[in-house]
Amino acid sequence: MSAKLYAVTSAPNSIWRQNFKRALYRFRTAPLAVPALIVVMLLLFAAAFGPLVAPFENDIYGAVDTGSRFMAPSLEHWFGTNDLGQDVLSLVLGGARITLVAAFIVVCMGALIGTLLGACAGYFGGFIDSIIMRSTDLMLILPSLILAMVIGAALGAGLNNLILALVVSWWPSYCRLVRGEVLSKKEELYIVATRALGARDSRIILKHILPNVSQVLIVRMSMDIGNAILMIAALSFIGIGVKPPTPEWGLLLSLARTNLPDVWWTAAFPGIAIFLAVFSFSIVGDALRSALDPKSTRF
Amino acid sequence: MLIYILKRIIMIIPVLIGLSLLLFVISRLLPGDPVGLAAGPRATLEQIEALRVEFGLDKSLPVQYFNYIAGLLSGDWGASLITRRPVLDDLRIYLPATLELVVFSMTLSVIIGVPLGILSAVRPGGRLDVVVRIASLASLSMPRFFLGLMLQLFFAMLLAWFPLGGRFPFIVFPPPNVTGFMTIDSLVAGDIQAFGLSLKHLALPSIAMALSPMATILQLTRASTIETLNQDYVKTARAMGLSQRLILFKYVLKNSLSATLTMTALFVGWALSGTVLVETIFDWPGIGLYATHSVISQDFMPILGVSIVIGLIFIIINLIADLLYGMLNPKVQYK
Amino acid sequence: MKLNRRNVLLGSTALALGSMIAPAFAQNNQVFVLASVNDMVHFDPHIGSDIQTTFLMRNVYDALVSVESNPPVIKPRLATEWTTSDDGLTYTFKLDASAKFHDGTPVTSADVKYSFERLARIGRGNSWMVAGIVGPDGIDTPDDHTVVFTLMTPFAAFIQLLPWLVVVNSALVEANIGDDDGQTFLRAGVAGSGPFELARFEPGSQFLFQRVADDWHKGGGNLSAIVYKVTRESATQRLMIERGEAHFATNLGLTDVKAIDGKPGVDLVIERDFTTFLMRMNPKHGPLADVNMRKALSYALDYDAMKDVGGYHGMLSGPLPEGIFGFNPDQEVYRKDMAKAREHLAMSSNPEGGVTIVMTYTDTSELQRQCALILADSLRELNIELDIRPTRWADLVEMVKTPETSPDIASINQGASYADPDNMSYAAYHSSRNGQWQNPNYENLAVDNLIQEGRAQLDTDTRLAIYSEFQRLVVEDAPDLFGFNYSQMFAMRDNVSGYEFCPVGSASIDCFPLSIN
Repeated sequence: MSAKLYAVTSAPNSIWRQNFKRALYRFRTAPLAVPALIVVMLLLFAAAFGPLVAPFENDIYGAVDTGSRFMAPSLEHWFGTNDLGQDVLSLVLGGARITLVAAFIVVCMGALIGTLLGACAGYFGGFIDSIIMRSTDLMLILPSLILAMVIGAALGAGLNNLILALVVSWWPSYCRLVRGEVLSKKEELYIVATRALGARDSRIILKHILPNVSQVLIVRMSMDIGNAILMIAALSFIGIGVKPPTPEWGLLLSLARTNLPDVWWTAAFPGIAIFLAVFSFSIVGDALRSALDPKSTRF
Repeated sequence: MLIYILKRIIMIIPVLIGLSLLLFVISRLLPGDPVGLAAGPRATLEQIEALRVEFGLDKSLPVQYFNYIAGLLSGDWGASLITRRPVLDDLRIYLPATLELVVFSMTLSVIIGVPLGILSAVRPGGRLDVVVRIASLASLSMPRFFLGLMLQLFFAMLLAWFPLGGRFPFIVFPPPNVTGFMTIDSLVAGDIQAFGLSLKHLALPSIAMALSPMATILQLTRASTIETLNQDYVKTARAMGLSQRLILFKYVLKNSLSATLTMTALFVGWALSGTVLVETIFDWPGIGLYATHSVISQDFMPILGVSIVIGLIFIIINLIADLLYGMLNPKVQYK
Repeated sequence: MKLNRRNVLLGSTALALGSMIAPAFAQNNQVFVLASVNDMVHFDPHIGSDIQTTFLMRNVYDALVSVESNPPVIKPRLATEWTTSDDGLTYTFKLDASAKFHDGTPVTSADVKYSFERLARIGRGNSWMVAGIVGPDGIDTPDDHTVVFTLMTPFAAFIQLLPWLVVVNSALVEANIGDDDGQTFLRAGVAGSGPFELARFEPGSQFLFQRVADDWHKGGGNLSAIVYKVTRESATQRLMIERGEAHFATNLGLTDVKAIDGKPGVDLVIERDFTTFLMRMNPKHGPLADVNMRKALSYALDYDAMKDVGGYHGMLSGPLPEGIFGFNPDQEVYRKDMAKAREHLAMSSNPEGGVTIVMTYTDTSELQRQCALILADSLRELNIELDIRPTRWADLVEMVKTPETSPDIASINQGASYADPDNMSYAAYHSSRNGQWQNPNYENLAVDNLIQEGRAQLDTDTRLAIYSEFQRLVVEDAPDLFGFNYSQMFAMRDNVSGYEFCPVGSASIDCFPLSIN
């Protein structure tokens, strides 16, 4: 179906508009899609301007006020204050950027590596395919959390290391996905024709096959952002993650643990932030899928 | 069939070799000096060197790897640098605990997930369906460690209905070890009190573990049920006036279950590593906690051991799932 | 050594009740439940010096003498009496003739000699204490119940070391010697003469110690057994105490101590001990090699904020903890003064600031993390950036081996191994310890000499003067940001009696005198 879509690029604009309208309608009617989209927008806004709107901007960069430790949520501190008297709302806002940016990088890098390897495996087949797919299988057998833990522990704390550890365990599922898509695409007539015309392999992969896989990829990536957020938070939670004073959500939650149950707010708000982010990204991803592919059953 | 199984079993060997090689290389590239740590803060350089020799860490990497593989096959999985206990002995203690948690939480998620999935498939788009679907997406988005913490906060700390963590109260005698599963062992021993205690300890961690596989199982069941309900033979059955209940139980359930089964098996592998976070929170003495402590103290033999065990279980479960899938679905042929 | 169900049932009536729910079980019988964060990985008193090994030394093994009370007092244990020669080189101990090991064999002078030799042979644990002081031929055993130590050099704190050098059952260890001096054997069992013996354990989580039947120790409390429960979370320890599931918790965080204060049935034990927290600067490499830079930091740190997060912990006023012999209460120490901080910064090689300082803290320590963040906030005023790195202990031990790889500031907790200023001064400030975590890089010849004089000097007044001068010199050098003089925060059920705090080895509590009422 997508092959046809590309074949008709010269067709009048109205078809595009109609398609878009249909997709928009399907998106809107997916349950909770619109509120979720609003939450995603808010999160993106917080990621971009969080520090500016935060009531205590300096707290994001590590300012402390030990005189006002562990204050319960109030008008001044909506989410209360933590063990160093920092404003939890400001930290959560500041954390949005770190968590989201890291999650985007992890998913994009993972998808990029996975796509390239998967495309090569699917397109060339034979020995290359075996090598790539066997190592993919291996990576998929290995529990990704444990793999990321080992690599993260080896590299030491820091946001970059955390991202690297996750990328290493992230690409295999994309590799498998793209390989499957490429296998089904490469026998299609227009590809065979292009090849017959003498196009180079790299050109066929980059110009003809990958664009046709992109829709599947985008849907998968949008649904994967949530997973990446969860993994980042999980690694930070078990103590393999960012360095202080970086207000990463998982780290905030893990630090708050020692003060439960009396000081519940330092744990509750970062936890809710993680949940809301993952939840709204997966709803938006799900709605996106049903918008782009009318045949699919929802989920 | 037998040949197929044998083939699959033989295929495990290269996978295991690859797995161990990968992990071995990663773990040996760890910075820091685990030997220095293990030797203690006041150890002299000679003592550290002696320890290095004792653990064979003075040899070259290929030699170390060869020794490791040879040991792996002969039942010597190395020893922890910190506690010096053999890894295999430790795994024997910790693995049943994790398996019990995994089996329990998977059962929980199937028992809840499958009926809910079928229910919401009966009227797709209906009110129940929408609620169930949103709830399942929400469950998938819930960070397991946050859920675990909140369960612990409410039900263990504030309400004190359940213990905070652990597997069994120490001062009570545990039932004699038969299966390694506390619940089964206490039933075998006929000790109802012990059974109750072990269930109480299992409850919160299993719920924390079960939520997201439950949601996925629900979604799968729903999708496959909808598909089956649209099949011609179901339509025929319905046209012939068979009751909805009979159709669901006789035709739909069987077909939906085979898909769910495969997925559940896949989840067991996933759940094994997913226990890391839950075990950390509930202080559950399983391989997840063991792995976390080992990663933090850079004790690589236990990390290798845990990963290999998880990989092995994952492969075996997959094999079993494939075979069961074939039994439920006669169209599948083994090659 | 692991007993099966039947044996334990026979051995202890307290445990014969089988499946009862935990709290009732703990209350109706004299089973003392101790919650501690420290896991025991062996039962060998000669290869460890940590809190859990020290717990074994106090409860499962015996030394010649023991240390109790606050301020610490040396009491007889295996030795009933002892004499010292005038030159401080010869110590003669008379052993208690009734002392016997768990298997019934009497404790003899040969066991003492064997234990010291084994300790030195293995070279781990507390062997460093007597290295260079008790030589290979330093112990004589004229008869079964007399031990004579001849020291290689006079050592003022010798008697303070002895509680931590315990005696093992030489026959039992020899019978299970293996190829590692019995270390394997002592990973699953014990060979002691102390009031408690190991009954059974689950590695990494729980350990049951039973009171020895017809024990030779006189006095003591009514405990029939100790359950040593490894409990990693402070909140869990606190709830166990609140609910009566544990009798004693040793690792409560500040929030939990405050929450538990005043709860019915709970007593708090909050006592200053000899443990200290130092942010050790690197005087050999990097920006802090400049003494003015170190002083700028010393004046910039917000000590009041540290006090806020520290709660019950006191602030150090120099290298020695309060209350130890030789501590000088009049020693002036750095307090926050930004004018002076800027003055020193201006005299340094980076008068405008603009440098980045790397600081590590142990990733498991909440308090160290908070202090690092406070320091970072304080230094922002001086235009100095602090790069805070949570570091695993293993990595830190590796990093401090050379000045170049050491962080600019390392957060280090120093425990007291014995109740004498020689402990802190030698371990943390003598240059022979450079490259070790306790003293990565500090080196000052004058200080070295003072420390050497202090340990060899036997006259009390002269020692006082020496340690006073030692404190002055170290503060002048500003090698550390002097942090906390820690308090221990324990919680105890109020039906426990007989407990007395002892500031050395305080987290390894002595269960022998305890009773449950």
